[in-house]
Amino acid sequence: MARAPPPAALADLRAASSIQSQIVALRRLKNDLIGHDQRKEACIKHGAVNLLVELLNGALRAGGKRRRVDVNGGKNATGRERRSSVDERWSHEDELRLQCTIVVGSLAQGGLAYVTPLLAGGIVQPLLSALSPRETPATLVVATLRTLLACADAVSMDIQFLDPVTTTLADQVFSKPDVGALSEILAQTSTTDIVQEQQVLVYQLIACACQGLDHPNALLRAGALDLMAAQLAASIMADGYPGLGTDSKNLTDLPPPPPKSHVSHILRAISALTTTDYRCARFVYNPSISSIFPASKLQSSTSSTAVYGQLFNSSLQGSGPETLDRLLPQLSTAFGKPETSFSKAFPALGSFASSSEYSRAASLFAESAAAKSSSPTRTTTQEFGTQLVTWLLYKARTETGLDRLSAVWQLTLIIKAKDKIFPDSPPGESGPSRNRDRILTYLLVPLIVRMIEEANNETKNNPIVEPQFRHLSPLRIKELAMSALAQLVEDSKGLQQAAVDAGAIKLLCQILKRTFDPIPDRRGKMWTPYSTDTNMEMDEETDQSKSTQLGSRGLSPEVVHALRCRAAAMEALAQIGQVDDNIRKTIIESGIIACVVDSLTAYQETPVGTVAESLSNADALDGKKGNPIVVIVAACNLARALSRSVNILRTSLIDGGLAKPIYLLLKHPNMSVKHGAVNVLCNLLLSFSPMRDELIQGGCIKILCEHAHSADNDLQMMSLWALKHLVYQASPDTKISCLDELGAGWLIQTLTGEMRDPFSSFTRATASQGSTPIGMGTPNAAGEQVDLLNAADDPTMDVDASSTSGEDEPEDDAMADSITSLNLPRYLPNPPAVQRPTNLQHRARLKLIKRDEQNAAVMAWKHEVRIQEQALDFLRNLISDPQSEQDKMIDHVLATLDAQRLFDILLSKLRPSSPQPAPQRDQPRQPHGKHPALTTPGSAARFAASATYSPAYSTHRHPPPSTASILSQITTPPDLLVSTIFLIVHIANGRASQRQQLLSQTPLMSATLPLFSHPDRRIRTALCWLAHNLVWLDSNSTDDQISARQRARELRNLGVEEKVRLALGDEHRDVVERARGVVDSIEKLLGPEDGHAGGQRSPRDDRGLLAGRVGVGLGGPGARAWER
Amino acid sequence: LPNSTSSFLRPGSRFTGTQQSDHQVYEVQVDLKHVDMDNSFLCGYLRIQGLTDDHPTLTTYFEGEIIGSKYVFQTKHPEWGSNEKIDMEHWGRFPAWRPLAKAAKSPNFTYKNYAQRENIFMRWKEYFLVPNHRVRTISGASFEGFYYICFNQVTGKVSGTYFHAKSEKYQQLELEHVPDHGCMGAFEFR
Repeated sequence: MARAPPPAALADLRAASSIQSQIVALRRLKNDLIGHDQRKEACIKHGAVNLLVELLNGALRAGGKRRRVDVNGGKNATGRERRSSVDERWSHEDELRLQCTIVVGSLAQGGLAYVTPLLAGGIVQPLLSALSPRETPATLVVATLRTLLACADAVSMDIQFLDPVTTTLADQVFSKPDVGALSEILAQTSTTDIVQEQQVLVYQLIACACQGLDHPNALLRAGALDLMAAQLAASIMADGYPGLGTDSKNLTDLPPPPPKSHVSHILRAISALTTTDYRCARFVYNPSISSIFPASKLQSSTSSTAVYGQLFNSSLQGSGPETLDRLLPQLSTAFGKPETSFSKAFPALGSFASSSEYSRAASLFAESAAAKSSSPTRTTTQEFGTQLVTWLLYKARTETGLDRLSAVWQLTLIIKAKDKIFPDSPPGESGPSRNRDRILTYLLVPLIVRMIEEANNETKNNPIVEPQFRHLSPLRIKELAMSALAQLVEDSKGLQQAAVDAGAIKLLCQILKRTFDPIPDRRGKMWTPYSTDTNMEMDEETDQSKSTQLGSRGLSPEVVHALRCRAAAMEALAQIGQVDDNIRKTIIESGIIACVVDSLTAYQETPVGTVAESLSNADALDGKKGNPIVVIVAACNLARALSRSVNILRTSLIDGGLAKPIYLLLKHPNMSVKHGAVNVLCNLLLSFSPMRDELIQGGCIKILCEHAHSADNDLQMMSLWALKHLVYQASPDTKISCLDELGAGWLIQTLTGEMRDPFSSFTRATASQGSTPIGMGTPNAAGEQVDLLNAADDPTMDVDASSTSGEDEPEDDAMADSITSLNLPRYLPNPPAVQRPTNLQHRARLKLIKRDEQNAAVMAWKHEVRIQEQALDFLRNLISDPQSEQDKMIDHVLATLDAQRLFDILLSKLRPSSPQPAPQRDQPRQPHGKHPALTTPGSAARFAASATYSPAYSTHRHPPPSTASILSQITTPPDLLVSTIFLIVHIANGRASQRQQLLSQTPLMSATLPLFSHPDRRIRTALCWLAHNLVWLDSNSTDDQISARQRARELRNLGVEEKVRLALGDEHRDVVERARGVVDSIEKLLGPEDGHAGGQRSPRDDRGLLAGRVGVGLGGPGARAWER
Repeated sequence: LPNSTSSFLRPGSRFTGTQQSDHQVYEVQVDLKHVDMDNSFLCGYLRIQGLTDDHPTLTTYFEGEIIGSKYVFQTKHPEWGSNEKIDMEHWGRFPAWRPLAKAAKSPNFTYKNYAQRENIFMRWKEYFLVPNHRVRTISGASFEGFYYICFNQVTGKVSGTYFHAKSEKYQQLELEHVPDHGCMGAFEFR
């Protein structure tokens, strides 16, 4: 046996002395390689990568001079002229680069094993230098894009993270300056085939490779999102849907419509960018999009106003903006009635959709066309604030396959961000948000479940014909439809139930189970006369570098598909089972616990890496041998959802043996896996979990404390959450060792925090700036000073100043820069003159969303609030167990943490954070009823919501505050106050000396007084409990009586008694009952307020008397509202 | 809805009292483990003493469905062996229920704002033994029936009536909240 000789063409290429002979050799090499994996392998092993990099770089240097000329000369030319002028000068260097690029592309087509050495050899950078259409002939741009896409496509199949080098591809493509070239390609307005081919390749490249936060942000800054949005808008306009916007100014500014076949590619690329609320809002508020889908009222506070709008439109104009809604089945609105009252309506008429499309749904929803114009009880997708949703729904319902998926996916992203983008009603209230859910329940969720079902049947029955690029494989439909379902139902109980009703659980469980079935390996190893052992000694002419070794082959597409399905199915089940115990039980009954436990197995570590590299396709499907990270994280999420039930914890999960795999994952090197495992652990460590003792004995205190000390904010918070559960009702020894391991110093530091006021820097920055906004003005193409994103009358302009406090680069600026420097056509942003009032609000809201999402100070503040809450609760749980010598544990905690220091910290939480004086500059009022406050979405954000900076007092009842005044109203979040006060309540439940110690903290006691009128009743209740415990009589001994009387007197002197008496008139019954107990105790000790003895009266007698004293009559039982 | 409505109906609350049959009185302790008003759901442990000689203490896990928007007064679990007549008979034993009697018989009656009423009505059903959930049967004891419960939010008193077709009729559960001075652990599913 011997090593394969290097292909002759490679030797020729190396020997070639002139550029012409190099080109000839490259052409030969190209022809030799296409479709011939063994030759590709030999080529790589004989150093082809380095040679190709050299050749590409050499051609770049030779062509460099011409390029610079182009940059200056071609500035004002249109795309078409520029390209033809470049093409005329097709040089030998260009030809050389073209051939090199094609050879690289051919190697990359071989898959992951070939792309790894290409990337390791540094092929990306020289390729990228031939991307800008201003500098590069169009054919070369196409070849470069194809080659990049081939590499990205191969990398996308590496779900095991076999080689870190593969992640570098996208990092290089989607970063400055090369990301600008992508925007240049998209900005070309030519409709020639070659330009359109470039553009569609860019869409695919973005859809295939853009990930994480940095890539989309770079693309956003480069203007790519706006360009694609404009192209999408042009396409929609060209299709001539009814009821589109008629703003003629904007319509003429749209680019020429792209070919129809591009639309789903554009949507996919946009989806890759709109993965955060902010970027999604940027898309929805894009001027082109919002001009063809005229913004509906941003704040239609009740559904009835929307209905009036409809009536008005349909009766007076006939075809109002709602016309697009006629493409969809009509639903009746939910008017403050529970979902069950929904009456089934009449069959649908007058629709554009095919009858078959309708027949399935018609009986469920829809009403007659005749009823439509007169009935005020139909929902419209106007509820979402934009007809873009309607259009996407229509697309989703009429298209098929990947096109349908692209619409569904984008729709899902918009709906996830809807509470931020269209905050027209507080979550949970009836009205628009209910009707929104209703539309999704009936029109979207069943559709997605059906998509999964159809895709499942297809892949089951027919072998899949693989397209050239795997990311466009029809297999993706099943995977992504399940992911879309997961994202859609997250945080919505109604949609979770809708998914169950559509039969999702059975289907998903079936898919999940089948991913463990073996798949025949079609890609059998080809016979070769040469040794394929990579460890064999190398020839002299090859070196050992990674660029000359084939990478790991990765898994076959079928196996990758199965693993992705495994992850997506578990993710979807996790989201469906978020809140309802009955749903969780149904999932459990489908018998998937073993699948979940197997999926929690990580790849084994070996001395050279993980076992993943050597796993055969068959073994890779055996969950017990290890799973890719994406699968483990999904399994953790499902385990977490299922463990939110005492019943399931005590039965299926203990039987399934969940504790051990979760414990093993705590030390996994990947952060997402750690997050997932600690999240599950929080539930497994609850006092009623039968797995708790096993985990504590296994040593999870130490690991959790290490994690709590980590630099990762989320891991810190979750670990402290888990520890808080661990010490609750634990033995004193466990409690003490946990406190020691965590460290008193660390706890003090965490509790103190920096507690920066996230907005102090903001207010300072604004104050120092005067009224001039920071450099938003940039010269436009015509040389005028255009403030692209800030009209001069923008009342919230000062919000931009916040960008100086945290972000490295405000995207608004960057976008403006890129637009001018790229010399993009006029259609891109609206010139200020035509900006409609809504655009101002869009911008104001964008800034808020962005600050909420990206401002470092805001995020740090939120984190501090979250972790302090956990730290306080941890201390509370240490001393919460009255059975186990609570007072001794209180002594221990006070001694360990230094009592005075702890009291000072608690005081700092109770005192209102010094309110920043709002910058009272000339601030025009916001347009009526359109305040840009952010509402925080659903249950998953529950703890985040508690950390929100929006004031505790409902903003909805008051006149809409301006942005600046919202910022100035920061108060301590109620949840943090509750945690603080309850910790004090517990300390007060110790022995008499401890109560006295607490009472001597006069500032602390005084700080509670204003909180007696806090709107959160939990806080008022807690304060009554505090007073109750402070006057508690331990025994009837004379000493105790004396000291209790003393404490009661102090409470009276401090003014606490007066506040408690006022609480007797509280609107919440629980507060009244607690207050009554305190008043009784005080009167028993001291006599009534006026000093006379009255302690003998029974509570019943007191009831009327006391109520009369505070001037509030108590109604009969039940008359008083129990809950606010 | 928060997952507690009062200082009594919340996770971590403990109640003690008795279950009384014609000739015997057993000591009972109930610990609430989880309260989810949003889903009209709660669960906890029920510990009974002296029921059988072999097992001086028996603890079961129970789940409660809270009558309100999700559950009606009529029991919708045929396997629990109850029917509407039995339901009304048992509910009728609670004085607090009598004003509702007429309306409650309508199959579409929903007990609105249930969380804000002084009295909350529930059904508590035991499911398995704690700690060993696999033990299905115990000689001399059975947890196949369920309790009709009336919970007073103001006083923290729990009254209940056990029902099982084969058990002695109208066994009475009377529990009082164990004072905790507002001390409750901070725990919450993640």
